Amino acid sequence: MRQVIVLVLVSSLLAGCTVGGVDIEQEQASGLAGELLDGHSFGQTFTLQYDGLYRIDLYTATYARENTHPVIFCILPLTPQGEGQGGGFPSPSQWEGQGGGFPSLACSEGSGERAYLVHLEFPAAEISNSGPTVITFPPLAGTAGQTLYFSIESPGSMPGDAITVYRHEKDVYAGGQMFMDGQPTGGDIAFIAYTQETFTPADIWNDFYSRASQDKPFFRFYCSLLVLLLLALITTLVWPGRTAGARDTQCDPAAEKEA
Amino acid sequence: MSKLPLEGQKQWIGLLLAGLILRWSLLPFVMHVDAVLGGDILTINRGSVAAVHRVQKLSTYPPMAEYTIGLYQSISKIPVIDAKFGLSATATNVIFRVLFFSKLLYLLFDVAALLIWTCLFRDNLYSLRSVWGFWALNPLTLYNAYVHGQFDLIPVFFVVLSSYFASRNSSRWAAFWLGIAGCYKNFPLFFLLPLVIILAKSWRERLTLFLLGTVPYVSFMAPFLKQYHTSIGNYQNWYFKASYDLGLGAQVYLFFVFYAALLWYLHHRKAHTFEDFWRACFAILLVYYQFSYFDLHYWAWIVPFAAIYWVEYPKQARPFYLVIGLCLLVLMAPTPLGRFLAPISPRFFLRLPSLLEVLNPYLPMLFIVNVVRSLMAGTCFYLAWRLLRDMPAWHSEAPRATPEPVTVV
Repeated sequence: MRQVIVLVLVSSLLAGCTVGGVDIEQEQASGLAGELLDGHSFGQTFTLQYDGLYRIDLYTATYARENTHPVIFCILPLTPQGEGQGGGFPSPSQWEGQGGGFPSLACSEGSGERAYLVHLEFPAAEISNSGPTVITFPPLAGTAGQTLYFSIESPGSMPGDAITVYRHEKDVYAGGQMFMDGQPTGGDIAFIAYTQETFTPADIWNDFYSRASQDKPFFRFYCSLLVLLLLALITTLVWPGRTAGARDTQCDPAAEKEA
Repeated sequence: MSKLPLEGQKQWIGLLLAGLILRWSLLPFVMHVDAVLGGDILTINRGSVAAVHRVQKLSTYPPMAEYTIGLYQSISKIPVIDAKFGLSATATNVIFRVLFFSKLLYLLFDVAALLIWTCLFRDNLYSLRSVWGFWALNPLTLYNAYVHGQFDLIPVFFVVLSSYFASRNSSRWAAFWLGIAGCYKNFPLFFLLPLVIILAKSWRERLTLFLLGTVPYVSFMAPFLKQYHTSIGNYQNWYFKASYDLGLGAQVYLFFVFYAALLWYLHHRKAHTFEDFWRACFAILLVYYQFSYFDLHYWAWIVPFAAIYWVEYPKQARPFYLVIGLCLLVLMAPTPLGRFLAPISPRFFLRLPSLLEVLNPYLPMLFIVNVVRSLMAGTCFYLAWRLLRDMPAWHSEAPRATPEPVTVV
């Protein structure tokens, strides 16, 4: 039985622990962004704290009707992500240098040239009218500190048969801004971004050791005093005790008082 | 001081060492985190150093606290982590050193309080062992100073010092040290009036004690009034929330209703014993917590009186401490405890949810927490009532006289 418990503990330690939660919470909205028509797009930049973006809850609306045209959702990086991420994407400032707009940010344009981090298409029936539309995808690595951009389009949509998103007219989210048709506009889309990561004990140890090893003098001092204290404790416990005279001669005033 | 009867008590010395090792282990690895400013201890350090170097106004803490900590920081040359780091402060290389040396100051006051307790109970080995055990494993002080990183142990030390003098009938020193304690955090001022009423034997002495307690406070606060950020306006919302409204902005704060009634009770008892004093102070805090919003670390204030009750009446104290302790554990549910370990691995520990977040989808956690809060309030009210009811003496330390039997004709 004991071996089974040890085995379970060891295997759970090696398997690691997945932690995650809300990374960005921008739920404020002052109204709808207007119908998302064919050839147009709504987008939002955002900066994540952690790695492992795997879900975005997008506050959408269907105008309480059954729309028919599919919706395309994509995520792409704005800040260069280094070699590991394929790099090479121009930064917002570079885009601004090309005329102030973001003409190539649409999901359906230039897909051959652009390495989207996420590119999903789903039917209009899956768009929620009474709460956020939950969009999940495999966790994205290396997203911590990165500025990403998500965009939503609906090819073929026309007035009276289109979805929309909730937005706030004011800049309520400091980590990014809303875009319409690739152009920055005031305000922010209402959305929540979730991240998750799996950690093994080795990951946690490496995280600690990488920083602790840079302050070796302190840890030498700290550990040597800790060892001294532990030695003192062991010595106290192991040292043969003397006669417990004091214990026997002392009375317990509390017991007397309470009696 | 008489010789401490320590022969053959190695297990208790071992317990003291274990307490020290426990504290030592917590020093560099645990901290309270705050998304905006990084964490309480970093905010305190930053504000204190800035105050000493007159770079900025005082922050939310009293001037004496800021100057004490600021001077310590400057002398010990502890690095100051800028507020702009926010939560990233936990990922810096110097965080262990900063936490260790910052909290080392609290450890000094903590050990000093233990020494005073040792003096207070030195006459009896049994009491001494109880108070050492209480000190070594006290979760309230461990949480306050070594986990949360707050400096409440400094005023608590002065309250213990004041209690020591009160127990030795040095009421003037007791009042003075209480005033000094009030300069660090305001809560010890609650104990000044009970001390004046209980320990002074004449109105003249009462005035003297009152002045001894308030003059240090006023002297240290008055020069900084313009710089002091904490306005009285915050107090009513944070610390005296429970009240009833009389209209047109008039409020009656329930805690002060109790406080005034208690003072009259103490006055009419004409009690002059140290036991009356600590019982009254203990009751005041037990009631205060029920009428105000509190974070768990505020509970460290009660430790000096809880220790005496523990030592003097262990059988009575045990069930109350057990119930209150369990309630406080449940009240920790909204606090993401894992985040306190953020210095070890910020990437992992900062993302751990609180128990409330984990269980909320399945249980009405806020309701449950509030039920427990209410149960704890009832327990605390009852304990406060018992503490006041069981005050041992009437007029003096002599036991209360048994009333004469009345013969009804």
